[in-house]
Amino acid sequence: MFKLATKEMGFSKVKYGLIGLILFLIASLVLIVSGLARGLSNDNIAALETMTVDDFYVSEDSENVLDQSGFLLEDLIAEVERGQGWEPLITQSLRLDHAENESKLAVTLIPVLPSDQLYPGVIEGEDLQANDQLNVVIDQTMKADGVSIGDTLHAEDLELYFTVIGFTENQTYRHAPVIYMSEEAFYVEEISPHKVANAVVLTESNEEVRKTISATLADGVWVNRSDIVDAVPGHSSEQMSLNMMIFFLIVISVFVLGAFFYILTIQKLNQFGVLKAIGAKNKFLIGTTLLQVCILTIISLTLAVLFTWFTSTILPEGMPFDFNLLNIAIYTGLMLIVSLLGALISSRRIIKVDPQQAMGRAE
Amino acid sequence: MRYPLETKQLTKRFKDGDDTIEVLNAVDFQLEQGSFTAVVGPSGSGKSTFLSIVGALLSADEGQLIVDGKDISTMKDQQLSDVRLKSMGFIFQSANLIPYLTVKDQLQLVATLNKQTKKQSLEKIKAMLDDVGLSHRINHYPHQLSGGEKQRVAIARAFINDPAVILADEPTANLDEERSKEIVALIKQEVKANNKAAIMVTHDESLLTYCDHVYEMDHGHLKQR
Repeated sequence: MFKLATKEMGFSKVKYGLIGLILFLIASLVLIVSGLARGLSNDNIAALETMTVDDFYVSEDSENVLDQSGFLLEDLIAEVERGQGWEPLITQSLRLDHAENESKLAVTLIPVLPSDQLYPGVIEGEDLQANDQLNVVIDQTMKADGVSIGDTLHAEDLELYFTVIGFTENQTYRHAPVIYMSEEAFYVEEISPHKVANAVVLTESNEEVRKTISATLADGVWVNRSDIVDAVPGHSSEQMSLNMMIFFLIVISVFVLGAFFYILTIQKLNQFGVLKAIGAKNKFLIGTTLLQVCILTIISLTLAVLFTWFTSTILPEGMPFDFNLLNIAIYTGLMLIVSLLGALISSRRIIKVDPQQAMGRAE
Repeated sequence: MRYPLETKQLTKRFKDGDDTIEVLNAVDFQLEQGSFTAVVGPSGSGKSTFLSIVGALLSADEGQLIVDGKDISTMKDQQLSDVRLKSMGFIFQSANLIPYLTVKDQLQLVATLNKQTKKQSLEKIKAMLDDVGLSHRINHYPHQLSGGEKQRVAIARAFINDPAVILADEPTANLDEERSKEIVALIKQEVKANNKAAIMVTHDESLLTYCDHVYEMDHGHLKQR
């Protein structure tokens, strides 16, 4: 069966090569679009996704959008001290001037206590210290903008100069890098005049703290991290349209591949008739056809994965693209099933072939 | 006496509009071991239908078909394909070779379908190709062969599984006179050498001299000449 399958493919190289090429192109497109979908998703919500906290207290009328939520924290601090199971989450959009190359950068500023869970730590450079110095650690995507350790970033609106001391990874929010600064410096410089937060997060699951927060801060609701992620502006619509593209690509490939394999089968009906006449069974003929499809698909998918990997290496830096093995395994598996399904459609024709037609003429 | 192939009261009807035509009308026929039998008749006389039915490609409406002592007229498709594989060897009008297999692989395929190992079959294939005079074409594809050579491969393919019956459907239809004689002589030679029974359907009267028995199909009746 295997021999017959490979012999035919070897003999009709061009025919099978072309089908393989189509399969390769569709698979590459699926993988690249899915990589882009994940990349964009990361770009938009990675900072939230990598947070180790899961309970967010936000304003009731904020629709879970952090920027539309806000609390004054003085009363809460009087009730439960900082570090007793809760932390404030503050996000502030900021426009920075990069002094070295005169470019403007949009970022999200998050002030943190360096000892706290919300601070992700650096992968390069130095960690933040709990002091009033205007040091920041920034996401490594800003390297693409030419920012390096020791550079100065000027926040014109605040009339402040920040010094970059380290890089973090996977810290992006709303398609912009996140920059972390010490909370002490944040208040010393009076970036906010009051103790405020967009949301209050629980750093440990403590019912008492939870109740106190609910009681102290009026008009708030508790939501999960996934609710916050879904409400990030653009996230749902972006993912939906990209996933829609992937879905349609896969549906299209069912039909394209189905049609190809069908034509291939129709072309060979006479041969199948002869093979049946000399004693080949349906099982053997369908097995051979499916085996061909399997071999062709596996080769094409392997090349598509390699091509996707290659693409991911030559994409310009800063382009959101995520080459994720699990993701690729899922989509290649799906493509394999899809092409086998396409081949199965024509199996019906193989079963229906009448071996008598080998006789060359029917009376 | 046991025949490799025997039919008893074999009947086949086709619908033609409102009429029913009896293509085969209670045909009694015996094929002897080691004999080469020809079936002739005008086109539409039912000789191809007869060959299809005895070749287990088409089922009869009534009567029995006994191959190698077994009644196969009630068998299902799957069993019939086993009968074709093990007991029948077909030589078709156009050689009907598989275009993407070399001469050796054409024969190998049949042997593989019959669950023979490569080792077992290879010797036999070589001997068989020697018999039909194609040893020098063993690694050629069908498109590289002449019409006569293709038909020789088809003959070798028919004999390779050591079947009880060889069925030839107008094996010379696409060949010139000289080639036709060579091919039929080759079939006869192989039938005699392997002591097989063969039926050939043909309309070429000049070939009948090679046959031991000649039957004529006429309006559904099979008569010996």
